[in-house]
Amino acid sequence: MRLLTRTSLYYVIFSLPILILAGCLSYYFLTESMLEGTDELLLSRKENLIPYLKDNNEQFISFLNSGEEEKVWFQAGNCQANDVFSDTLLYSNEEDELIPYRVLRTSVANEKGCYKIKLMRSALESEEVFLGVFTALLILLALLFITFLVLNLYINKKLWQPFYQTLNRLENFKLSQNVAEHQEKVSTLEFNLLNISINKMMSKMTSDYQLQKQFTDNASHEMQTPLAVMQAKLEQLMQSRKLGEEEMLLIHTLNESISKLVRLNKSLLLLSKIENRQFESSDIVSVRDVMESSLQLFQDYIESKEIVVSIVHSGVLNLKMHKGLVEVLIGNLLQNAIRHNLQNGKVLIEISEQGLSISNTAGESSLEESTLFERFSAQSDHSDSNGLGLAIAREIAIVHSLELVYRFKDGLHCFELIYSK
Amino acid sequence: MKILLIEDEPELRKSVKAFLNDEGYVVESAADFDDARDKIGAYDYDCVLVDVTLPKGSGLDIVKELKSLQPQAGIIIISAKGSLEDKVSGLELGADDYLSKPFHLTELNARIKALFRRKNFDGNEVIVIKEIKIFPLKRTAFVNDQPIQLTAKEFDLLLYFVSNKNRVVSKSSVAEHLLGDYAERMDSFDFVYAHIKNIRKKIVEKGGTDYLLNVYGIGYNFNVEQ
Repeated sequence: MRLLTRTSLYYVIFSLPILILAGCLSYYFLTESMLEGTDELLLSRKENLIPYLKDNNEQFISFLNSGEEEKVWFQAGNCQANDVFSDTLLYSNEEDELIPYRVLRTSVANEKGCYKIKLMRSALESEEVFLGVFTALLILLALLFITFLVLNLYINKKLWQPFYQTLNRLENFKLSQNVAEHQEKVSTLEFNLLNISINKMMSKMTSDYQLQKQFTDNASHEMQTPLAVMQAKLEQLMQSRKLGEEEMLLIHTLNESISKLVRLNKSLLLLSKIENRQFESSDIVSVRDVMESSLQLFQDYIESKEIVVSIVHSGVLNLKMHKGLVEVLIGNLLQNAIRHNLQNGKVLIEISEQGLSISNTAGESSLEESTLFERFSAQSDHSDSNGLGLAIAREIAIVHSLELVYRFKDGLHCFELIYSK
Repeated sequence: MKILLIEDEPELRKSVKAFLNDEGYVVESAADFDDARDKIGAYDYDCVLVDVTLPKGSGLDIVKELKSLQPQAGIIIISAKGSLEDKVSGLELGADDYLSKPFHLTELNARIKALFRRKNFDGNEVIVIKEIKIFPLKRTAFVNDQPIQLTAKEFDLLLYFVSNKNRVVSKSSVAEHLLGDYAERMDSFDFVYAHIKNIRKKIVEKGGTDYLLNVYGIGYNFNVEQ
């Protein structure tokens, strides 16, 4: 639920009891004052009657008694001249229902004796008042609701706009894309503060990231020369005829380690260069061609493992990127599929306009997808792997807006490169 | 054969120079851009090895200048920048080959020999080592004048060993020669071993001598001196 929808809802929910209370109060005060009015009306009618009754105007009395609402009758004896108000229900023929009446019982004394008076007035109006109040409240509630909606829209558009902009900026923020562009100053203090903090945070993150990348880049680069010297010296040493088996084995171990370090360093360097987007992507490269040359490169290896490779071309896929990168990307995926394969295993390759998929037989269980493409996350027991092959492949994919996904289906490990124009 | 080595790292320069001297080349070296320019202006070389990142200038400019001054000289670029970038620009400028640092000396040696073959023979070169004859550009090999059927990789491998004859060639350099950057992750040593077994078998079948010696698990030596 959106923040504004939520606040409006709260407003409406909390205004409901207030409205009900207001309704009750206004009903109470209205009926009170109406009752007072009715009573006063009845009293003034009584006052009007008094002169006639004092005169014993028979004609008038019988005229009075012909109506519904006034009854006057004579009663001998003492007169207690007090006014008694009461409520009653009477059946009305016109309305065909019981109608509330306000009744005033009183008596007027004259020289002959005592006239008892009963004056009535319909209290129907107070029910109508109740209805009126209720309707008014309903309309008020509806109006309030509509006002909130309209206000909501307006506030949403105007007041919260900078907030949604900031949110959008955060959502689209990518460390690698180096877009820490600052948002304009806005008029709301809180949003401004938020933006300032976010800008600070973003620039810090980006600069940290840049520094870290530069460090990897520089470190790998600086290591190249000493490694080259080590390798060359070791090779020179190998040529010596004065060495015995023991020394040679030491040299062998050293050589292996240095070779590993050299390749690791090359991979890291490549990775940081891909991240830094140092490869211009102006070539149009046919995936089919690169796939064929990669298969050629690994042919002996495929044969020695007796792997059956089947390749399906259901479309032509051309990628616009550095040819070397396409070679690395496909080479790494293919190598992965061959290397982790079983003896007499299978590799299925499909090239279509939508992408490339490489599936291979291997272990029966799915690989851990969350860490599969992470650096140095070699999942197998191949100790000679540096765990960078897939990381490099994915980095190439990301930089070129391709999607590289892993699936485990029907006992096949499938790496799919999805190309969307 | 005269080679100019342009490299700023003194220890690397020393090793390469020593290795190539042993091969019988005359090797001169230059440590920076100016030094290199002076040398290519003053002397003729058969081959120039150029490091791209040099003090005081770029090796790629040296390549340009070499192309106009000494078009006959073979040029091999050596770069620490990684194999993907300078390769294209270097080769476009007219360099003949490209090697990324760190490299194996035996690989450099094989590349220099291949370059000389391309420059100096019109496909008719033959390498003769005792009873073995190899025609590198035709990609055929003979033992006692009988052809032997080698696969493409086996042929490359034989040529690599022959280029580095009487040298210890490490297993890792062999694997890299065949698989490039993919050498590491391919359980490559078994794979190299299988190729070598085949080469030996094919040579011995035709009555040849197995010159390929194992050197304590470290690598191989195509030894024809014994």
